[in-house]
Parts: sequence; C-alpha cells; structure tokens
Amino acid sequence: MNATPPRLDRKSPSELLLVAALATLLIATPWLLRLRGSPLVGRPAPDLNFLVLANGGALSDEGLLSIQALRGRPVLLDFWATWCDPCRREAPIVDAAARKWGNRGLVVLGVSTDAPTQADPGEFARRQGLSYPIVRDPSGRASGAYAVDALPTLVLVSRSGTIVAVRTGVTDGDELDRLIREVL
Amino acid sequence: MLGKTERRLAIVILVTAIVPLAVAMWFAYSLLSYASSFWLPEVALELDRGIDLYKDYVRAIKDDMKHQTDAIVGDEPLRESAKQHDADACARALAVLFPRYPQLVSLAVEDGGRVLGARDRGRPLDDAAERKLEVRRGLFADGVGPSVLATFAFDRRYERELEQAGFGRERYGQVERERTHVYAGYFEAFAALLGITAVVTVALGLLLARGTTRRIERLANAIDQVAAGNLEVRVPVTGSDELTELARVFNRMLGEMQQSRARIEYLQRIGAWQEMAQRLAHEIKNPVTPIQLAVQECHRKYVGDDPRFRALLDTTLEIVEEEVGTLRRLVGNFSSFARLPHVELRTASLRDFLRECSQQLGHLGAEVAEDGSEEAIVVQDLDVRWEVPDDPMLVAIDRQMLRRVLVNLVRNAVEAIRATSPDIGNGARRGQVVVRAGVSGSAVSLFVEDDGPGVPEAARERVFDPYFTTKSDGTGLGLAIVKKIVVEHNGTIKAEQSSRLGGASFVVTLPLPHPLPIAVARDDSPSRPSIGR
Repeated sequence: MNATPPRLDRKSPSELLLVAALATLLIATPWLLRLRGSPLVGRPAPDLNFLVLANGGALSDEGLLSIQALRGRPVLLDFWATWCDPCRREAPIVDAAARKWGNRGLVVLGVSTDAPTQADPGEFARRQGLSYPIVRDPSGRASGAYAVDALPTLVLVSRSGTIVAVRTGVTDGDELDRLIREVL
Repeated sequence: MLGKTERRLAIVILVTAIVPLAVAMWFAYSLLSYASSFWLPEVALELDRGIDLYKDYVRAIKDDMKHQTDAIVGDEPLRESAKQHDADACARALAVLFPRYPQLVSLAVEDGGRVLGARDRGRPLDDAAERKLEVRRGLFADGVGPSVLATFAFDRRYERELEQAGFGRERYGQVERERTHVYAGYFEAFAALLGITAVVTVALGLLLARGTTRRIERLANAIDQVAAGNLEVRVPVTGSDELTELARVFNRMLGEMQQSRARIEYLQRIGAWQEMAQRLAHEIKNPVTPIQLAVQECHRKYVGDDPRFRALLDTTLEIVEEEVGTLRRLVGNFSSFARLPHVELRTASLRDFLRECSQQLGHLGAEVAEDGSEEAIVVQDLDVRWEVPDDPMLVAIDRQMLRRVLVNLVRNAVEAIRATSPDIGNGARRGQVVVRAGVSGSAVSLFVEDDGPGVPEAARERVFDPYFTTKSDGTGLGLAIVKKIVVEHNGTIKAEQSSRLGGASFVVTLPLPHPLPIAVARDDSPSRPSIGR
C-alpha cells in the first residue's frame, strides 16, 4: 500500500532518441547511395526495354528493343529530343558514325526523350534520313538510369556491357570516331 | 552533386514532424504523471476495514447461535424432563422451545446413545444455501448425563459475500502493485507510435519531394555545364508544371545566348575581314593609276616604225588596261565590302517590300553590282518568279540592305544556272528562280531557290565565308555581304538543297517582333511543326 506516485520508465526518452537517429539514417540513405553511384563510367549499363519508333529492323523484337539483347555488341546511346537544336545538329554526326561502323558491329540507338504528345521522333528521323533505330523514353526511366541531365548526351557501352564513355553537348565526328574505335 | 534542396527539405519535414510529436509526448507524460498522483491509499484502507467488519459480523452470528443453545439448556421444564427421563415431558418442553429460535434446523436431547426427545423444522438442510452449525451442550454442569444437540442453519450468503470482498481486495492490491508498469507501458507504446509516425512522415515526404528535387538537381547540373562554357546542351523537358516551364525558358535562353554569341563572333570576324579589305583596296588602288598612265604614256610617245614593237606595245597596253580594270573592279568590291553600312532597322511589311522588289528587279532584270553601281543584266533567258503571300509579315528591316541581299541571292542563282546550262538560244528558258516567303513559328523565312546545280554539302557552311568562291571571276564577297546584312538583322541564313526545284535554296530567317518570353517558351514547345523544315 505505498502511496508514492509511480515513476515512469527511464527507457522511453532514449527510445525516442533512437527513433530520431533512425529517421536521420533513413534520410541520409539516398545521399549515401548517390555519392557512391555518381560516376557512370565503368559501371554496367542498366538494362532497359525501349519502344522502337523507327528503323528497328532486325534488332526490334515485336516493336521492343532491350539493351540486354545487344550484349556482345558495342552500343552507342544518343539521348536527344526533336525540339533540341544541338541534338539536331549532332544527329548527322551520329548517323555518319552509325553508317561507318555499323558493319563492324556498332549499334546506335537514338533515345528520344520527347513526351508522346510532343512531336513524332520517328517521323523526324525518317525525314532527316537517319539510319539508326529511334526508340522512345517518354517516362524518363532511361534518362534517370543513365543520369542524363542535359541533351544531347552520348553514352558508349562496350561489348561486355560496361559504360566506357559519356559525352554531353555536341560531340564532333573525330572525337566520336576515336571513342568508337576503342570499343570495336 | 549533393542534393542541398533535398537535405533542407528533409530537415524541414523532420522538424515539422518532430515538434508536434515532442509536444504530444510531453503532454502524454504529464497526463500520466498527473493521473498517477490521483491514486488514493484510503480506498485500500476502507476496503480492508469493511472486510474486517464483515468477519466480525459473521463471528457474532455464530456466537449468537451458541448463546441460543445456552439459553435452551437453561430451560427449566427441559432440564426437569431430562432428569426424569420423561420423554413426554421432554417433547412438550421442546415444542415450546423450538419456535422461539427460527434459525434452528433440529433440536434433540440425548442421553448416552439414546435420544430422549427430538424436534425439527420439518425440512432438511438446503446444502446450497445453508451451512450446518452444530452446538452440543450438557444439560448438567458435571458434563455427564443428557445433553442437547442444537443444529442451526447458517446462511451461506454471508460466507460468499465475505469471499467476494476478499477477492476484490486482492485484485485492488494487484492493480496497485502493477500500475507503474501499466503507465510505463502506455507511455512506451505512445512513444513508439509517435516515432514511427515521424519516420513514416519523413520518408513519405521525401519520396513525394524526390521527383521535384531530382529535376531541380538535373537543371542545376545542366546549368553547371553551361557555366563551364558549353552552350550546346539542353535541359530535358519533362512533366507539366512550373519546372517544365522553367526548363523550356532555360532552353530558349540557351538558344538565344548561343545565337547571339555566334552573331557577335561572326560580326567580329567579318569586321576584321572588312578592315583587311579596306587596306588591301588602298594598297592596290594607289599604284594602279600610275602603272596605267605610264603604259599609256609609253604607247602614245612611241613614234618609231618598227611594226613588231608597235604590236608588242599594243598588246601590252591592252593587257595592262584589262588587268587594271580587273584590279579596279576588285578594289571597288573590296572597298564596297569594307564600307558596307550598318543596317538601320525599321518595322515594315515584308510583303510590301517583296512586291516592290519584284516590280523593280523581276521584270527589268536590273541588278545592283557588287560595287554598288546599277548594272542591267537581261534575264530574258531565265524565269524569275516571286511568290509573295498576303500576310503583311511585319518585321524590322533595312529596306536598302535587304534589297541588296535579295539582289545578290537572285544574281547568284542566275549565274549558277548560266554557268552550267548551255544557251540554246531562240528565247528558250534555261532555268528558273523562285523567291518566296512565309511565317513559321516566331520567325519569317525568305527562300531564294533555283533549279541549278545546287551547293555541295561540304561547302554549305563555307559559302558565306569572305573570299570563298566557286566562280572563276568571283571575289567571294557576295554571300559574305549577304550574311553580314542578315546577321545584322538578327537573322540567320543557310544554304540547303531545294526540295521543290532540286537546286540550291538559300533560306533567310528573320525574327518576328518579340512576344513575352514565357509565351515564346510555350510557343517553342516541341509540337511546333517547323522542325527540320
């Protein structure tokens, strides 16, 4: 029959502290992950499926094309958009590379970042006489996976599926040839 | 690289989640402390006292039964009948005594093993509701001889109630012992719940903000590249919110920056060329006249009659005069290029301007020579067609200078056709030139097309460079002048292959007066049909 008021358990405030620490860790996780994953070069190319809009040819499987299926061949990904002037200037350079190195195994993919309601990249490519396959990345999944912050961006993937070079802005033909020769 | 915005956002969310939670925790703590201070120890005391009272009461009832037995034993007629061993008298005495005590079940007088007399209430003891309480007393003080056995019925209700009171007290004690743990448990559960809420809030908030912060980060990365001097990049335009607009405006701004940078660079370069042309013209012009005069003097002063020498002099004079003429024309071209006036832009209707030009140039074939003098070239062997739309097309132009652009482009086309297709004679047409205009997006385009040989793809950039020419007698200044004038109009010019006529197509693009930047950015949206033309 003791009349003293009960003492609350001392453990509770420390428990709260633990929860706060947990929350902090949770917040910090994305940064930690991103810090580790910043350089794209040297990492395996993320596998993605694309919807083919033009020039799919033998590469396209029922209108779809996956990076995984191109393993064993060097791949040049050209992230572009129809409204992007520098991309339009770069397109003939990329097309020349595609024609020049195509018989040596190089696969060039023009990854259009246009929204589906915007202009038709396939039509644009046909009008410009581009020979390489044009695929669509409307939801930005590919741009996200390949950390494409600006257009145009070229990503060169080796035969073993490793990213060997990333170039942003208009890359001139000589530089592109030099890069491609390294992966052939 | 590190998402500063994201970090700040996380801190803000965490603080906004933690502050009310901390207040709630403090509130819960004080509430529980307050509640625990309301525990009254008197309640336990009173409960204990009640139980004791009850026990006393039960004991009193039992004592009362013993006293009743004592009273029965003290009854004189009963004692007398027992003493006499008179069964009849005993029965009579019992009959008198029995009704006096309602709690009695049976009453018997025994002597050794023999029952002298007995009486009961007529119904047996109900075991469920009553408990038997037997009291035996000797009738006489020595303890031997007859005795009375009184059997009472004790109501079990009292017993049960006492038992329940005991249980209640026990439970109360238990609760009192455990309440500290119970309160602490509540508090812990509350704390855990609030902690989970905080974590979930922050995680959810970050998840929702992630899309936006990621796009801001991309924009920042692109701006970094621009800051490093690379204007050849564009920000991906995604979604449909303020950031999308920002990306569009930013892209448009990049385009304009790139254009104006190219324009400034071009004008600087052409300025250097102009200066050089000026010097060259000056250096050539000065000695030309004395050379010509000296040779003319030699030719005139010769009075000899050597026909071979006369012939030599004639030829020399002819050659020198011809070459001096060429040099003079070159010098004229150079200084005209060097002294090319700056354009003075005034808003005018391009339609009216083109109609005027077509009347002046189209039919008469009058053209302005590179040195600025009017030179009539008959273009009867060619079709020059003007396709002027009804749209007034208000743009800022310098009429004189733009006229020069048109004249140069048309003459270029005419000369290209003449250089390649032979003159059949009989007034047959050797080719055609089409001048047309139209609005596309936020610009007006002027086309000068022909069915000549066209411009080779490799030369399409270089044709506008000064002193670059494909003609045997050209100075390579015509298109350079054209480009300078167009650039000073804030426009662009490019050489393409004409899709209509198959020959060359020179496209002059002049900007329409500027609408508001945001509206332009919207207008610049990729759905515009002018892409690639």
